Amino acid sequence: MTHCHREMYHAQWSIILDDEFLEAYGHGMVVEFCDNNRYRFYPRIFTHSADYKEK
Amino acid sequence: MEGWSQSCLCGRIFTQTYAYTNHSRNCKKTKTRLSSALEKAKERYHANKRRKTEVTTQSEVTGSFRMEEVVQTEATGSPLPTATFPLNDGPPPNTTHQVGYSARILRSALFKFLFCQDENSMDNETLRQPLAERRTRREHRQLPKRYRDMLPEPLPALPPPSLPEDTQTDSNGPQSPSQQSQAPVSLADRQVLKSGRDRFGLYRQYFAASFPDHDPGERITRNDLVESPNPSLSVHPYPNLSSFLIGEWYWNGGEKKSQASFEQLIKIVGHPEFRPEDVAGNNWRLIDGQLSGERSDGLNKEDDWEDEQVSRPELEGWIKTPIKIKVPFHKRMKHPGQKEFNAGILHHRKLISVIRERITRPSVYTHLHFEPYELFWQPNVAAEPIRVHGELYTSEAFIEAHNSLQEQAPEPGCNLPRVVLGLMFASDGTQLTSFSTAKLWPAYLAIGNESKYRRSKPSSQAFEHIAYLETASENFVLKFI
Repeated sequence: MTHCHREMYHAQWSIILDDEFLEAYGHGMVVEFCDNNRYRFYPRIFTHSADYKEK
Repeated sequence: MEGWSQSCLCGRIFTQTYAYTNHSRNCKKTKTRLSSALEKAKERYHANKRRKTEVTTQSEVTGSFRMEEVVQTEATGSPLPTATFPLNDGPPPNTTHQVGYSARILRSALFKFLFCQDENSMDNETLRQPLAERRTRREHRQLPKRYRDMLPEPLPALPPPSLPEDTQTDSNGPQSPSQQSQAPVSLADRQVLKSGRDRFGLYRQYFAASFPDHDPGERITRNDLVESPNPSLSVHPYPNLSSFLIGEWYWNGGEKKSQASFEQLIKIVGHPEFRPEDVAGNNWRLIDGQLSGERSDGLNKEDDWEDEQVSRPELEGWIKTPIKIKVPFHKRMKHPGQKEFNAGILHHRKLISVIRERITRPSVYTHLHFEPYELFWQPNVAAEPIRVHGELYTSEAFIEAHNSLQEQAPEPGCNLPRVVLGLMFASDGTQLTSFSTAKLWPAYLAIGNESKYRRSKPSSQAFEHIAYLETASENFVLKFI
Protein backbone atom coordinates (compact mmCIF):
# COMPACT_ATOMS: atom_id res chain seq x y z
CA MET A 1 0.00 0.00 0.00
CA THR A 2 2.69 2.44 1.02
CA HIS A 3 4.67 1.38 -1.97
CA CYS A 4 1.76 2.13 -4.24
CA HIS A 5 1.24 5.54 -2.72
CA ARG A 6 4.85 6.44 -3.14
CA GLU A 7 5.01 5.12 -6.66
CA MET A 8 1.85 6.96 -7.48
CA TYR A 9 3.24 10.20 -6.15
CA HIS A 10 6.48 9.88 -8.06
CA ALA A 11 4.69 8.90 -11.22
CA GLN A 12 2.51 11.95 -11.04
CA TRP A 13 5.38 14.29 -10.46
CA SER A 14 7.24 12.79 -13.36
CA ILE A 15 4.21 13.57 -15.48
CA ILE A 16 4.05 17.13 -14.20
CA LEU A 17 7.76 17.70 -14.66
CA ASP A 18 7.58 16.67 -18.27
CA ASP A 19 10.21 16.68 -20.96
CA GLU A 20 9.37 20.18 -21.98
CA PHE A 21 10.09 21.33 -18.47
CA LEU A 22 13.34 19.42 -18.33
CA GLU A 23 14.39 21.02 -21.58
CA ALA A 24 13.70 24.45 -20.10
CA TYR A 25 15.49 23.46 -16.92
CA GLY A 26 18.62 22.60 -18.82
CA HIS A 27 18.64 25.12 -21.61
CA GLY A 28 16.33 27.83 -20.48
CA MET A 29 13.21 29.19 -22.05
CA VAL A 30 13.10 32.47 -23.90
CA VAL A 31 10.21 34.64 -22.88
CA GLU A 32 9.38 37.89 -24.57
CA PHE A 33 7.56 40.44 -22.52
CA CYS A 34 5.15 43.15 -23.40
CA ASP A 35 7.91 45.75 -23.42
CA ASN A 36 9.85 43.71 -26.00
CA ASN A 37 12.45 42.67 -23.48
CA ARG A 38 13.51 39.11 -23.88
CA TYR A 39 15.02 36.96 -21.20
CA ARG A 40 16.10 33.41 -21.02
CA PHE A 41 14.54 31.84 -17.98
CA TYR A 42 15.86 28.88 -16.13
CA PRO A 43 13.23 27.45 -13.86
CA ARG A 44 14.58 26.18 -10.59
CA ILE A 45 12.59 24.49 -7.88
CA PHE A 46 13.19 26.04 -4.50
CA THR A 47 10.41 24.98 -2.24
CA HIS A 48 7.69 22.45 -2.05
CA SER A 49 5.37 22.82 0.85
CA ALA A 50 3.07 20.01 1.69
CA ASP A 51 1.72 18.07 4.61
CA TYR A 52 3.01 14.81 5.79
CA LYS A 53 0.85 12.08 4.44
CA GLU A 54 -1.93 11.49 6.86
CA LYS A 55 -2.08 7.99 8.17
CA MET B 1 -0.10 80.07 79.50
CA GLU B 2 -1.09 83.26 81.30
CA GLY B 3 0.43 86.40 79.90
CA TRP B 4 1.36 84.88 76.53
CA SER B 5 0.12 86.79 73.55
CA GLN B 6 1.01 86.93 69.93
CA SER B 7 -0.11 89.37 67.30
CA CYS B 8 -0.53 88.34 63.74
CA LEU B 9 0.45 90.38 60.75
CA CYS B 10 -3.14 91.14 60.00
CA GLY B 11 -3.54 92.81 63.36
CA ARG B 12 -5.34 90.20 65.42
CA ILE B 13 -3.95 89.34 68.79
CA PHE B 14 -4.07 85.81 70.16
CA THR B 15 -3.60 84.63 73.66
CA GLN B 16 -3.82 80.91 72.91
CA THR B 17 -1.02 79.10 71.12
CA TYR B 18 -3.30 76.77 69.16
CA ALA B 19 -5.53 79.64 68.06
CA TYR B 20 -2.55 81.48 66.73
CA THR B 21 -1.16 78.51 64.82
CA ASN B 22 -4.60 77.82 63.38
CA HIS B 23 -4.94 81.37 62.28
CA SER B 24 -1.45 81.66 60.84
CA ARG B 25 -2.16 78.67 58.68
CA ASN B 26 -5.05 80.45 57.02
CA CYS B 27 -4.09 84.08 57.29
CA LYS B 28 -3.84 85.45 53.79
CA LYS B 29 -1.66 88.29 54.71
CA THR B 30 0.98 86.12 56.28
CA LYS B 31 1.07 83.85 53.30
CA THR B 32 1.34 86.63 50.77
CA ARG B 33 4.07 88.21 52.67
CA LEU B 34 6.01 85.05 53.10
CA SER B 35 5.86 84.16 49.45
CA SER B 36 6.60 87.66 48.27
CA ALA B 37 9.53 87.92 50.61
CA LEU B 38 10.85 84.68 49.23
CA GLU B 39 10.47 85.97 45.71
CA LYS B 40 12.19 89.16 46.62
CA ALA B 41 14.98 87.18 48.09
CA LYS B 42 15.20 85.16 44.93
CA GLU B 43 15.38 88.27 42.83
CA ARG B 44 18.12 89.66 44.97
CA TYR B 45 19.93 86.42 44.85
CA HIS B 46 19.82 86.35 41.06
CA ALA B 47 20.94 89.92 40.82
CA ASN B 48 23.74 89.10 43.16
CA LYS B 49 24.76 86.17 41.08
CA ARG B 50 24.73 88.21 37.92
CA ARG B 51 26.88 90.79 39.52
CA LYS B 52 29.25 88.13 40.72
CA THR B 53 29.74 86.77 37.27
CA GLU B 54 30.27 90.24 35.88
CA VAL B 55 32.62 91.68 38.46
CA THR B 56 34.97 89.44 40.24
CA THR B 57 35.83 91.68 43.08
CA GLN B 58 35.51 90.68 46.66
CA SER B 59 33.76 93.72 47.94
CA GLU B 60 30.37 92.98 46.46
CA VAL B 61 29.33 90.67 49.27
CA THR B 62 29.54 93.34 51.93
CA GLY B 63 27.14 95.81 50.36
CA SER B 64 24.71 93.28 49.08
CA PHE B 65 21.55 91.94 50.49
CA ARG B 66 21.84 88.68 52.30
CA MET B 67 19.21 86.22 51.58
CA GLU B 68 19.51 84.27 54.79
CA GLU B 69 18.47 87.33 56.73
CA VAL B 70 15.09 87.60 55.08
CA VAL B 71 14.38 83.92 55.21
CA GLN B 72 15.20 83.80 58.86
CA THR B 73 13.17 86.81 59.81
CA GLU B 74 10.21 85.60 57.79
CA ALA B 75 10.34 82.17 59.30
CA THR B 76 10.22 83.47 62.83
CA GLY B 77 7.37 85.81 62.03
CA SER B 78 9.14 88.81 63.48
CA PRO B 79 8.84 92.16 61.72
CA LEU B 80 11.27 92.79 58.94
CA PRO B 81 14.22 94.98 59.64
CA THR B 82 13.76 98.20 57.75
CA ALA B 83 17.28 98.12 56.54
CA THR B 84 16.60 95.26 54.19
CA PHE B 85 14.23 97.34 52.01
CA PRO B 86 14.98 100.40 50.02
CA LEU B 87 12.15 102.17 51.80
CA ASN B 88 13.62 104.65 54.15
CA ASP B 89 12.10 107.96 53.03
CA GLY B 90 9.45 108.48 55.68
CA PRO B 91 9.59 108.10 59.46
CA PRO B 92 9.78 104.53 60.62
CA PRO B 93 6.18 103.32 60.52
CA ASN B 94 4.68 100.85 62.92
CA THR B 95 5.08 97.18 62.24
CA THR B 96 1.75 96.34 60.57
CA HIS B 97 1.82 99.36 58.37
CA GLN B 98 5.32 98.76 57.25
CA VAL B 99 4.65 95.12 56.43
CA GLY B 100 1.59 95.94 54.34
CA TYR B 101 3.49 98.55 52.44
CA SER B 102 6.51 96.44 51.84
CA ALA B 103 4.29 93.56 50.75
CA ARG B 104 2.74 95.71 48.08
CA ILE B 105 6.11 96.76 46.77
CA LEU B 106 7.30 93.22 46.89
CA ARG B 107 4.35 92.08 44.83
CA SER B 108 5.03 94.55 42.10
CA ALA B 109 8.65 93.54 42.14
CA LEU B 110 7.59 89.96 41.92
CA PHE B 111 5.42 90.70 38.91
CA LYS B 112 8.21 92.47 37.23
CA PHE B 113 10.50 89.63 37.99
CA LEU B 114 8.16 86.99 36.72
CA PHE B 115 6.77 88.45 33.54
CA CYS B 116 8.83 91.35 32.44
CA GLN B 117 12.17 89.73 32.56
CA ASP B 118 12.49 88.94 28.89
CA GLU B 119 9.59 90.90 27.43
CA ASN B 120 9.77 94.45 28.62
CA SER B 121 6.64 95.60 26.83
CA MET B 122 4.01 93.25 28.20
CA ASP B 123 0.73 95.08 28.14
CA ASN B 124 -2.13 94.69 30.53
CA GLU B 125 -4.21 92.82 27.96
CA THR B 126 -1.79 89.97 27.97
CA LEU B 127 -1.58 89.95 31.70
CA ARG B 128 -5.31 89.55 32.07
CA GLN B 129 -5.28 86.26 30.14
CA PRO B 130 -5.07 83.05 32.11
CA LEU B 131 -1.60 81.79 32.65
CA ALA B 132 -2.13 78.67 30.56
CA GLU B 133 -2.93 80.76 27.52
CA ARG B 134 -0.09 83.10 28.01
CA ARG B 135 2.47 80.37 27.99
CA THR B 136 4.28 79.82 24.74
CA ARG B 137 3.96 76.35 23.25
CA ARG B 138 6.24 74.12 21.30
CA GLU B 139 4.80 73.78 17.86
CA HIS B 140 5.24 70.75 15.60
CA ARG B 141 5.97 68.50 18.46
CA GLN B 142 6.69 64.87 17.57
CA LEU B 143 4.63 62.23 19.24
CA PRO B 144 6.40 59.73 21.43
CA LYS B 145 7.98 57.02 19.37
CA ARG B 146 5.44 54.37 20.23
CA TYR B 147 2.59 56.46 18.83
CA ARG B 148 4.30 57.27 15.57
CA ASP B 149 3.15 55.27 12.56
CA MET B 150 5.63 54.98 9.77
CA LEU B 151 4.15 54.15 6.43
CA PRO B 152 5.94 51.40 4.59
CA GLU B 153 7.90 52.51 1.61
CA PRO B 154 9.61 50.67 -1.20
CA LEU B 155 13.29 50.00 -1.11
CA PRO B 156 15.54 52.80 -2.26
CA ALA B 157 15.64 53.30 -5.98
CA LEU B 158 18.66 52.08 -7.80
CA PRO B 159 21.00 54.53 -9.45
CA PRO B 160 20.23 54.96 -13.15
CA PRO B 161 21.86 52.25 -15.23
CA SER B 162 25.09 53.31 -16.82
CA LEU B 163 24.96 53.66 -20.56
CA PRO B 164 26.01 50.53 -22.39
CA GLU B 165 29.37 50.83 -24.08
CA ASP B 166 28.77 48.47 -26.92
CA THR B 167 25.93 49.65 -29.11
CA GLN B 168 25.82 46.78 -31.48
CA THR B 169 22.55 46.55 -33.33
CA ASP B 170 20.49 43.45 -33.16
CA SER B 171 18.90 42.35 -36.37
CA ASN B 172 16.01 40.64 -34.61
CA GLY B 173 13.64 43.55 -34.57
CA PRO B 174 13.46 46.28 -31.96
CA GLN B 175 16.36 46.87 -29.67
CA SER B 176 15.79 46.17 -26.08
CA PRO B 177 18.00 47.64 -23.39
CA SER B 178 18.70 44.25 -21.97
CA GLN B 179 19.91 42.91 -25.27
CA GLN B 180 22.33 45.75 -25.63
CA SER B 181 23.93 45.82 -22.27
CA GLN B 182 23.82 42.21 -21.35
CA ALA B 183 26.59 40.62 -23.26
CA PRO B 184 27.56 37.51 -21.37
CA VAL B 185 29.21 38.82 -18.26
CA SER B 186 32.32 37.16 -17.06
CA LEU B 187 32.93 36.82 -13.37
CA ALA B 188 35.74 39.32 -13.50
CA ASP B 189 33.37 42.09 -14.50
CA ARG B 190 31.16 41.56 -11.54
CA GLN B 191 31.54 43.57 -8.43
CA VAL B 192 29.71 44.33 -5.23
CA LEU B 193 27.20 47.10 -5.80
CA LYS B 194 25.34 48.77 -3.00
CA SER B 195 22.24 50.85 -3.20
CA GLY B 196 21.59 53.78 -0.90
CA ARG B 197 20.06 53.26 2.51
CA ASP B 198 16.42 54.05 2.99
CA ARG B 199 14.62 55.56 5.97
CA PHE B 200 14.65 52.26 7.82
CA GLY B 201 18.32 51.62 7.17
CA LEU B 202 17.78 48.93 4.55
CA TYR B 203 19.94 48.66 1.50
CA ARG B 204 20.47 46.21 -1.32
CA GLN B 205 23.73 44.68 -2.32
CA TYR B 206 24.15 43.17 -5.75
CA PHE B 207 26.99 41.13 -7.04
CA ALA B 208 26.90 41.92 -10.71
CA ALA B 209 28.47 44.02 -13.42
CA SER B 210 25.80 46.68 -13.17
CA PHE B 211 22.55 47.33 -11.42
CA PRO B 212 19.66 45.55 -13.10
CA ASP B 213 17.64 47.45 -15.67
CA HIS B 214 14.46 45.88 -14.51
CA ASP B 215 13.71 47.10 -11.03
CA PRO B 216 10.31 46.11 -9.70
CA GLY B 217 10.72 48.53 -6.83
CA GLU B 218 10.06 51.43 -9.15
CA ARG B 219 6.58 50.22 -9.90
CA ILE B 220 5.54 49.76 -6.33
CA THR B 221 2.91 52.24 -5.36
CA ARG B 222 1.64 52.99 -1.93
CA ASN B 223 -1.41 50.85 -2.62
CA ASP B 224 0.81 47.82 -3.06
CA LEU B 225 2.27 48.35 0.36
CA VAL B 226 -0.70 49.39 2.41
CA GLU B 227 -3.91 47.50 2.68
CA SER B 228 -6.54 50.07 1.93
CA PRO B 229 -9.09 49.97 4.70
CA ASN B 230 -12.25 50.56 2.68
CA PRO B 231 -12.28 49.28 -0.86
CA SER B 232 -14.70 50.98 -3.16
CA LEU B 233 -18.16 49.53 -3.43
CA SER B 234 -18.06 46.79 -5.98
CA VAL B 235 -21.12 45.13 -7.43
CA HIS B 236 -19.25 43.00 -9.93
CA PRO B 237 -20.37 41.46 -12.27
CA TYR B 238 -23.22 43.93 -12.34
CA PRO B 239 -22.20 47.13 -14.08
CA ASN B 240 -23.99 49.45 -11.68
CA LEU B 241 -26.02 49.58 -8.53
CA SER B 242 -29.41 49.64 -10.21
CA SER B 243 -28.67 46.46 -12.10
CA PHE B 244 -27.39 44.88 -8.95
CA LEU B 245 -30.59 45.63 -7.08
CA ILE B 246 -32.74 44.20 -9.84
CA GLY B 247 -30.55 41.13 -10.12
CA GLU B 248 -30.52 40.69 -6.39
CA TRP B 249 -34.29 40.86 -6.35
CA TYR B 250 -34.52 38.31 -9.15
CA TRP B 251 -32.27 35.74 -7.50
CA ASN B 252 -32.96 36.22 -3.82
CA GLY B 253 -36.62 37.16 -3.88
CA GLY B 254 -37.83 33.61 -3.60
CA GLU B 255 -39.16 31.24 -6.22
CA LYS B 256 -42.72 32.42 -6.30
CA LYS B 257 -44.10 35.85 -6.74
CA SER B 258 -45.42 37.23 -3.52
CA GLN B 259 -46.92 40.43 -2.28
CA ALA B 260 -43.81 41.17 -0.27
CA SER B 261 -41.44 40.68 -3.15
CA PHE B 262 -43.62 42.76 -5.40
CA GLU B 263 -43.44 45.58 -2.88
CA GLN B 264 -39.70 45.15 -2.80
CA LEU B 265 -39.52 45.48 -6.55
CA ILE B 266 -41.63 48.62 -6.42
CA LYS B 267 -39.28 49.96 -3.78
CA ILE B 268 -36.27 49.32 -5.99
CA VAL B 269 -37.81 50.80 -9.11
CA GLY B 270 -39.25 53.73 -7.22
CA HIS B 271 -35.99 54.67 -5.55
CA PRO B 272 -34.77 58.10 -6.63
CA GLU B 273 -31.34 56.72 -7.45
CA PHE B 274 -32.70 54.00 -9.68
CA ARG B 275 -31.95 54.70 -13.34
CA PRO B 276 -33.78 52.61 -15.93
CA GLU B 277 -31.17 53.29 -18.61
CA ASP B 278 -28.58 51.57 -16.41
CA VAL B 279 -30.53 48.37 -16.49
CA ALA B 280 -31.79 48.40 -20.06
CA GLY B 281 -28.63 47.64 -22.01
CA ASN B 282 -27.26 44.83 -19.86
CA ASN B 283 -26.34 41.43 -21.15
CA TRP B 284 -28.14 39.61 -18.39
CA ARG B 285 -27.26 36.18 -19.61
CA LEU B 286 -23.58 36.99 -19.45
CA ILE B 287 -23.90 38.50 -16.01
CA ASP B 288 -25.75 35.49 -14.70
CA GLY B 289 -23.12 33.28 -16.27
CA GLN B 290 -20.41 35.17 -14.45
CA LEU B 291 -22.37 34.89 -11.26
CA SER B 292 -22.41 31.15 -11.55
CA GLY B 293 -18.64 31.10 -11.73
CA GLU B 294 -17.92 30.97 -15.43
CA ARG B 295 -15.10 32.93 -16.92
CA SER B 296 -16.07 36.26 -18.37
CA ASP B 297 -14.50 35.36 -21.70
CA GLY B 298 -17.19 32.77 -22.16
CA LEU B 299 -14.87 29.86 -22.72
CA ASN B 300 -16.11 28.00 -19.65
CA LYS B 301 -12.66 26.66 -19.00
CA GLU B 302 -13.38 25.02 -15.70
CA ASP B 303 -16.78 23.78 -16.65
CA ASP B 304 -15.55 21.76 -19.58
CA TRP B 305 -13.16 19.92 -17.43
CA GLU B 306 -15.72 19.22 -14.80
CA ASP B 307 -18.08 17.85 -17.42
CA GLU B 308 -15.45 15.42 -18.64
CA GLN B 309 -15.45 16.89 -22.10
CA VAL B 310 -12.09 16.60 -23.77
CA SER B 311 -13.06 18.65 -26.74
CA ARG B 312 -10.49 21.42 -26.49
CA PRO B 313 -7.64 20.18 -24.39
CA GLU B 314 -5.16 22.72 -25.76
CA LEU B 315 -7.44 25.65 -25.04
CA GLU B 316 -8.11 24.59 -21.53
CA GLY B 317 -4.55 23.81 -20.75
CA TRP B 318 -5.67 20.85 -18.73
CA ILE B 319 -4.37 17.50 -19.78
CA LYS B 320 -5.27 14.01 -18.70
CA THR B 321 -2.45 11.58 -18.46
CA PRO B 322 -2.78 8.03 -17.27
CA ILE B 323 -0.61 7.31 -14.29
CA LYS B 324 1.43 4.16 -14.64
CA ILE B 325 3.10 2.62 -11.69
CA LYS B 326 5.17 -0.46 -11.36
CA VAL B 327 4.27 -2.96 -8.75
CA PRO B 328 6.69 -5.73 -7.91
CA PHE B 329 5.49 -9.24 -7.13
CA HIS B 330 7.67 -11.57 -5.25
CA LYS B 331 8.81 -14.75 -6.80
CA ARG B 332 6.51 -17.14 -5.05
CA MET B 333 3.51 -15.55 -6.63
CA LYS B 334 1.97 -16.72 -9.82
CA HIS B 335 3.49 -13.99 -11.97
CA PRO B 336 6.65 -12.79 -10.31
CA GLY B 337 8.52 -9.63 -11.27
CA GLN B 338 7.46 -6.08 -11.94
CA LYS B 339 4.23 -5.28 -13.65
CA GLU B 340 2.98 -1.93 -14.85
CA PHE B 341 -0.50 -0.86 -13.98
CA ASN B 342 -2.68 2.07 -14.78
CA ALA B 343 -3.41 3.52 -11.43
CA GLY B 344 -5.60 6.41 -12.44
CA ILE B 345 -5.68 9.54 -14.47
CA LEU B 346 -3.83 12.69 -13.58
CA HIS B 347 -5.39 16.02 -14.45
CA HIS B 348 -2.64 18.52 -14.87
CA ARG B 349 -1.45 21.46 -16.89
CA LYS B 350 1.76 21.89 -18.77
CA LEU B 351 4.21 23.53 -16.42
CA ILE B 352 5.94 25.54 -19.07
CA SER B 353 2.76 27.02 -20.44
CA VAL B 354 1.58 27.87 -16.93
CA ILE B 355 4.84 29.63 -16.17
CA ARG B 356 4.88 31.41 -19.49
CA GLU B 357 1.34 32.60 -19.10
CA ARG B 358 1.99 33.71 -15.57
CA ILE B 359 5.12 35.74 -16.04
CA THR B 360 4.13 37.40 -19.29
CA ARG B 361 1.03 38.85 -17.72
CA PRO B 362 1.78 42.57 -17.60
CA SER B 363 0.53 42.89 -14.04
CA VAL B 364 2.95 40.22 -12.92
CA TYR B 365 5.90 41.00 -15.12
CA THR B 366 6.48 44.42 -13.64
CA HIS B 367 6.76 42.90 -10.19
CA LEU B 368 9.22 40.15 -11.00
CA HIS B 369 12.70 40.32 -9.56
CA PHE B 370 15.18 39.06 -12.10
CA GLU B 371 18.37 39.39 -10.13
CA PRO B 372 18.85 38.26 -6.60
CA TYR B 373 20.38 40.59 -4.08
CA GLU B 374 21.33 40.62 -0.46
CA LEU B 375 19.29 42.83 1.76
CA PHE B 376 21.05 44.45 4.67
CA TRP B 377 19.91 46.47 7.61
CA GLN B 378 22.17 49.14 8.94
CA PRO B 379 20.40 51.47 11.35
CA ASN B 380 23.23 53.99 11.34
CA VAL B 381 26.56 54.44 9.71
CA ALA B 382 28.55 53.14 12.63
CA ALA B 383 26.55 49.94 13.03
CA GLU B 384 27.52 46.63 11.53
CA PRO B 385 25.13 45.74 8.68
CA ILE B 386 22.80 42.85 9.43
CA ARG B 387 21.55 40.54 6.73
CA VAL B 388 17.79 40.59 6.30
CA HIS B 389 16.12 37.40 5.19
CA GLY B 390 12.61 37.22 3.95
CA GLU B 391 12.24 36.85 0.22
CA LEU B 392 13.16 33.99 -2.03
CA TYR B 393 15.10 36.30 -4.31
CA THR B 394 17.23 37.50 -1.41
CA SER B 395 17.98 33.99 -0.18
CA GLU B 396 21.31 32.25 -0.29
CA ALA B 397 19.92 29.40 -2.39
CA PHE B 398 18.65 31.75 -5.03
CA ILE B 399 21.92 33.64 -5.19
CA GLU B 400 23.82 30.39 -5.51
CA ALA B 401 21.56 29.23 -8.31
CA HIS B 402 21.95 32.58 -10.01
CA ASN B 403 25.72 32.55 -9.74
CA SER B 404 26.10 29.02 -11.01
CA LEU B 405 23.82 29.89 -13.91
CA GLN B 406 25.91 32.90 -14.82
CA GLU B 407 29.03 30.79 -14.71
CA GLN B 408 27.56 28.23 -17.06
CA ALA B 409 28.47 28.41 -20.69
CA PRO B 410 25.71 30.32 -22.46
CA GLU B 411 23.50 28.69 -25.01
CA PRO B 412 25.17 28.81 -28.41
CA GLY B 413 24.13 31.85 -30.36
CA CYS B 414 22.22 33.45 -27.57
CA ASN B 415 23.25 36.36 -25.45
CA LEU B 416 20.02 37.08 -23.74
CA PRO B 417 20.27 37.72 -20.03
CA ARG B 418 19.81 34.53 -18.11
CA VAL B 419 17.45 34.60 -15.20
CA VAL B 420 16.64 32.08 -12.53
CA LEU B 421 12.97 31.49 -12.10
CA GLY B 422 12.14 30.33 -8.61
CA LEU B 423 9.36 27.80 -8.57
CA MET B 424 7.54 27.18 -5.36
CA PHE B 425 5.25 24.21 -5.28
CA ALA B 426 2.62 23.58 -2.73
CA SER B 427 0.06 20.88 -2.32
CA ASP B 428 -2.47 20.09 0.27
CA GLY B 429 -5.29 17.60 0.36
CA THR B 430 -8.71 18.96 1.08
CA GLN B 431 -11.87 17.25 2.10
CA LEU B 432 -14.61 18.44 -0.19
CA THR B 433 -17.65 17.49 1.78
CA SER B 434 -18.39 16.73 5.37
CA PHE B 435 -20.22 13.47 4.83
CA SER B 436 -18.43 11.71 2.05
CA THR B 437 -14.89 10.82 1.14
CA ALA B 438 -14.71 13.15 -1.85
CA LYS B 439 -11.24 14.59 -1.76
CA LEU B 440 -9.09 16.81 -3.81
CA TRP B 441 -5.38 17.09 -3.67
CA PRO B 442 -4.50 20.17 -5.63
CA ALA B 443 -0.95 21.15 -6.39
CA TYR B 444 -0.12 24.78 -6.82
CA LEU B 445 2.71 26.72 -8.28
CA ALA B 446 3.93 30.16 -7.30
CA ILE B 447 6.77 32.15 -8.73
CA GLY B 448 9.46 32.96 -6.20
CA ASN B 449 10.62 36.00 -8.13
CA GLU B 450 7.53 37.77 -6.97
CA SER B 451 7.55 39.46 -3.62
CA LYS B 452 5.95 37.47 -0.85
CA TYR B 453 3.73 40.41 -0.07
CA ARG B 454 2.16 40.06 -3.49
CA ARG B 455 2.30 36.29 -3.49
CA SER B 456 0.30 35.94 -0.34
CA LYS B 457 -2.38 38.39 -1.33
CA PRO B 458 -5.42 36.48 -2.51
CA SER B 459 -6.32 39.33 -4.83
CA SER B 460 -3.14 38.95 -6.85
CA GLN B 461 -3.95 35.28 -7.55
CA ALA B 462 -0.33 34.31 -7.41
CA PHE B 463 -0.82 30.57 -7.03
CA GLU B 464 -1.58 28.65 -10.17
CA HIS B 465 -3.20 25.28 -10.16
CA ILE B 466 -0.98 22.85 -11.91
CA ALA B 467 -2.46 19.50 -11.09
CA TYR B 468 -4.96 17.55 -9.12
CA LEU B 469 -2.97 14.73 -7.65
CA GLU B 470 -4.48 11.32 -7.28
CA THR B 471 -3.97 8.84 -4.55
CA ALA B 472 -3.81 5.13 -4.95
CA SER B 473 -7.36 4.10 -4.27
CA GLU B 474 -8.23 1.33 -1.89
CA ASN B 475 -9.74 -0.78 -4.62
CA PHE B 476 -6.68 -0.56 -6.74
CA VAL B 477 -4.45 -1.67 -3.95
CA LEU B 478 -6.73 -4.44 -2.79
CA LYS B 479 -6.45 -6.10 -6.15
CA PHE B 480 -2.96 -7.23 -5.31
CA ILE B 481 -3.25 -8.19 -1.73
